[in-house]
Parts: sequence; structure tokens; C-alpha cells
Amino acid sequence: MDRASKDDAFEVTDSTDWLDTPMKSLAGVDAALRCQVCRDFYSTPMITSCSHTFCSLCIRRSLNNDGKCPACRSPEQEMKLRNNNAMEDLVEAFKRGRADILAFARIPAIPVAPTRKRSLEQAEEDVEDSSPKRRRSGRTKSSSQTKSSQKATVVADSDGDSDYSPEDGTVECPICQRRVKETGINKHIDDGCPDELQAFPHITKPGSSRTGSGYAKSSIQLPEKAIKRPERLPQLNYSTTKDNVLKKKLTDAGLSAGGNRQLLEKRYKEWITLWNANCDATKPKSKGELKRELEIWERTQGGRATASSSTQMGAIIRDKEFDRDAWSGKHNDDFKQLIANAKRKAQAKKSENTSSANTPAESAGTATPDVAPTTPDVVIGDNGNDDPILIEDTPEKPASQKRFFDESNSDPPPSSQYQSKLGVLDKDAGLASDITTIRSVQP
Amino acid sequence: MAFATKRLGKELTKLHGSLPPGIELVSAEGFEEWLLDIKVLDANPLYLNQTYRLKFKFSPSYPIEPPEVTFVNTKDRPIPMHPHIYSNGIICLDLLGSQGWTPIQNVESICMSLQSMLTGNTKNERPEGDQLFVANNRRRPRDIDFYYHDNTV
Repeated sequence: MDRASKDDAFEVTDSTDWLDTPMKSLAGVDAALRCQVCRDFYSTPMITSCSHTFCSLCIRRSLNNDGKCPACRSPEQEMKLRNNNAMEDLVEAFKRGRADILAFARIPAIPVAPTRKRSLEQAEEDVEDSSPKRRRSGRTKSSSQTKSSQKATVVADSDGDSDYSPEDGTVECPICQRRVKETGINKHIDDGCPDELQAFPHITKPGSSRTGSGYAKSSIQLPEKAIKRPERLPQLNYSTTKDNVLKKKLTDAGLSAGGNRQLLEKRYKEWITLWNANCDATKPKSKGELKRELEIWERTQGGRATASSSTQMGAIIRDKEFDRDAWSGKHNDDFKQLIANAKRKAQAKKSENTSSANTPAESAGTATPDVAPTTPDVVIGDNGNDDPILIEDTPEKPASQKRFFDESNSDPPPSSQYQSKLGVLDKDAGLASDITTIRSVQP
Repeated sequence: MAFATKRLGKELTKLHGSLPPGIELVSAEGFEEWLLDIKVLDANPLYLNQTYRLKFKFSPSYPIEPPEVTFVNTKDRPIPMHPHIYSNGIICLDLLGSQGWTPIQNVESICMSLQSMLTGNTKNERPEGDQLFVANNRRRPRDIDFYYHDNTV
């Protein structure tokens, strides 16, 4: 089961896989077992009060965003979500069989009959070979097309087989489920099931060896109950939560408390979503795994993804712990280029002034689009805090590469980050006098 | 694998495999920006024998957040005439805004919605205030608060 889901994460499977096989109708089955949001097989499917099913994580993220069911747009709350266990079993069963059925379906039509017969015969031989205790001839014959699925079925059965018993002269105690010597069973029961595991350390059921011997009983019968199920985290009212409270919550959870307020909120929200979705799972993941998932989020949507965008950049520069030396070192070339540009423009302006006067609009120009884009790392988003798209206003660019509509002159400066940047310049290089020159220059 | 990438990967395999008539994948390099061509299939004289190019931009929060979809103007790909399509290619359509978007929409369904939006149109006109908007707008489509009033399209 675990293997199947791991494979699935690295391989893009799709319901259309069935369309070029004779089993086209399975495309519908395949599609029905997938979440409409992530297009993957349901993982921990949850049913909404409007009876739509989504992955726990998908629906929680979606509800966080707009509080509506993605399928029918009726209002929904996270609290109302319930596990759809039948769907989960169905998905797991289908996932287990999918690869084999697909492989079988892709075998060209003509050689199918002999191949199939042979594999069935072989499979039956396999069954004969395996121990009689494990044999489930009725089921195995009907359920498999290939040898490997045959084996999978047999193994799966033996795992859950309560009749299974090692032939070592012991029997299972009906009270404590420990293995006890057949001759001593009556005494064992009469004595009130004393702990005899010491005497039979090797005689525990398969699967129970990982847990301590003291817990052998529960792990034998119901291994999943042995896992301590995590408790759901409550949603936070962010408008009434102070910064230090939020930071403490993050630190308590073992998460980074770095970044501005907006990022802290986003990070904590995502953590709650990941955590609560994990609480629904039949086999909850460890906290470490969840942290790794948050790490991925951090890379794609969180702090490290947004650090380069304009609003974040301004915040970083204004931050108290901002490393000025590292920053000026990293952008040294950019600053030099800016200075060179500014000087060039200043000279150009002087010569321009002698020839013709600027129009009022030009001289009032607040924007400095020609100076700015010489910094290659800088992303000029109009607002975007998670905006990965580079929009540059380089005048040298051909018209087609420009923004798809023209900017009006009355707009505010493209971004205040240049102001702050120039502020840094100002402090570091003592260039204050040049800034005024830069501002009034026209593209 | 990140959420958006995984889902877009699935959509892409589907797009490479089979597409509804009148929709064509032009380029999909990476998972940030895709180009698709759409055609209007019926005999609507406004769009006869024309192909239009659509640009999809995906954020890392796709499909929780809608993609940014605009028409692109190139040499043989004009911006279609429509009372809800500005001459700079920005489309005023509720399902592309955060209010109308749902994560179960996808690239294919957006293309089909736009096809039908064009098919149903009879007015050879731009939206009210097109000139002003095109001249002044410097926001990205997702930040514009459109007022969706017209239910006929």
C-alpha cells in the first residue's frame, strides 16, 4: 500500500492511460477515484456536507481560500468534513491492482490467450507450492491475471490471516492472545495469564515484533489503534493574535518564526492545514514528514519563494536585522551600474537642457523606469507578494516584449523598492545628491 | 513535488494526449506560463477563420488560485472583439476571478468556456471604457475588481 502511493508520487498516472487499451471503460472508474482538485487518487478522502469528496489536504486548502465547496460552490466548513472510508478502501484497492491491470490491458490482443493461460497455470503452481495454511484457492484463482498480482493477493491475505499459527507446539491464549505451550495452556489461564513472553521471545505474531513486548497484545489484533492519533489544531483568529503569540506558536510547533507578519500567518495556516489533514489519515505521518511538506511549501509558496518579490524586498531592507554588508556585497555590481547610469543620464540631461526644455509632465516625472531594471535580480511586481513573473520596464526592449499595455505617466512610481534601495545607496555611498538627478531624468 | 506542478503535469499529459476540437497547445515550457490557441468552431461571422492565442500564467497556489488568462496579440493572432474582452487582451469573466474560480476548473475547461463565450456573442464591440482602461491599467488581471453584471454571455 505504501509502495503504491510512493510510486504514484513520482509517476504521473492519469485516467487517460486506459483510453488506448481495450479496457476504455476503466477510464471512467479511474477518473471517479481521483480528486478533482489535485487530479490524483484520493488521499484521505473527506466528504463535504454537500456530498462531494476531495482529498483532506485539497479541501482544507480550498476552504481556507474561499470557504466554498470547489464542486458546487456552496458554503462549507472544515469542521463539517467527514472521512469517506469506503472511498479510501476503494482507492487503495484500485491503486494496488492498477499497474497489473494496465499492463495486462496493454498486451496486444492476439497473444493474450496463450500468455494468460500460461500465467494462470503458473500461478496455480505457485499456490500449490506455498504452504497449505496460506492457500486461499477460491479467491486467488478468480482475482488475478498475472503472476505478480497473484503473489500480492496471497501475501496480503496471510497478513490479515487470524488462523495463521506457527507449528511449534504452541497455541494462542484466548484471553491474552500470547503464544503458550499447548500443554501448559490450562495452567496459564488458571494463573491469570502471567507474562511468559520471556520464555518465548521469538513467538509473536508477524508485525508485532517492532513494538515492545509489553504491547504485544494490542499490536497483534489492531496494529493501527496502537498509533497515537494526533489531535487537531484549532484555527487561530489572526486579527486578535499578537505577533509574539504567533511566533511562540510557531516555535512551539518547531517551525521557523522568521519573516514578516503576513508570512508568519501564511506559514501557520499552512501548518494547521497540513496537520489537520494528517489527523484524518488512516496512517498519520510523523511530524518530521509534515515538516518536510511544509519545507516544500516554503520553497514554492512561502518565504523563500516570495523573498525576491517587491513588497517582501522592501520589508527585508527595512528589517532591523537586515545584513547591510552582505546586501551591498551581493549587489555591489548593480549599485555601480546604477551609479554609472545615473551619471550618464545626468550628463545627457545637461546637454538636453541646453537644446530643449522638458514638458511639465516630464520634469515632474516620478518614475525612474530606465534606471531601475539594470538590477537583474530585482523583480518588479505590481503588487505581487508571491509573484514569480518578471516584469521589466526596460525601454530598450522591443515593443512586443513590453507589458501588454502601456503605462500612463500619472501612475505612482513602479515600485517603492528603488526608493529604499537608493536609500541604501544613499547611506552607503553618500550619493544623495545624485538621486534628485536620477529622478528627473526621462527614458 | 509541489502541489501546482503535480497537477499541471497531469493536465499537460492530458493536453498532449487529447484535446477538444478548436483547442491547440502551442507551448508549455515549465509550469509557469503556457500558450494555447483557440478557434471558434461555428459560423459566427465575428470570429470566422480566426485563431486566437491565450496566455496562461500559473501561480504556485494553482489550482487553489485561478491562473491569469489573457489573449495575446501577435501578427496573425488578433484580440477577439467582444464586449467583455479589452483590446489589451484582458478578459472580464467571472470564472477567472477569485470569486468565480473553483479548483476543479482546468486549462481545458477555461479554453472551452472562452470558446463558448465567443460563440454566443453577436456584438462587434469592446467593453465600455476600453480606451481609458487600456491606457491607464497597469494592474495584473487578478488584482482588478471586475463587476460581473452581464449574465447573458
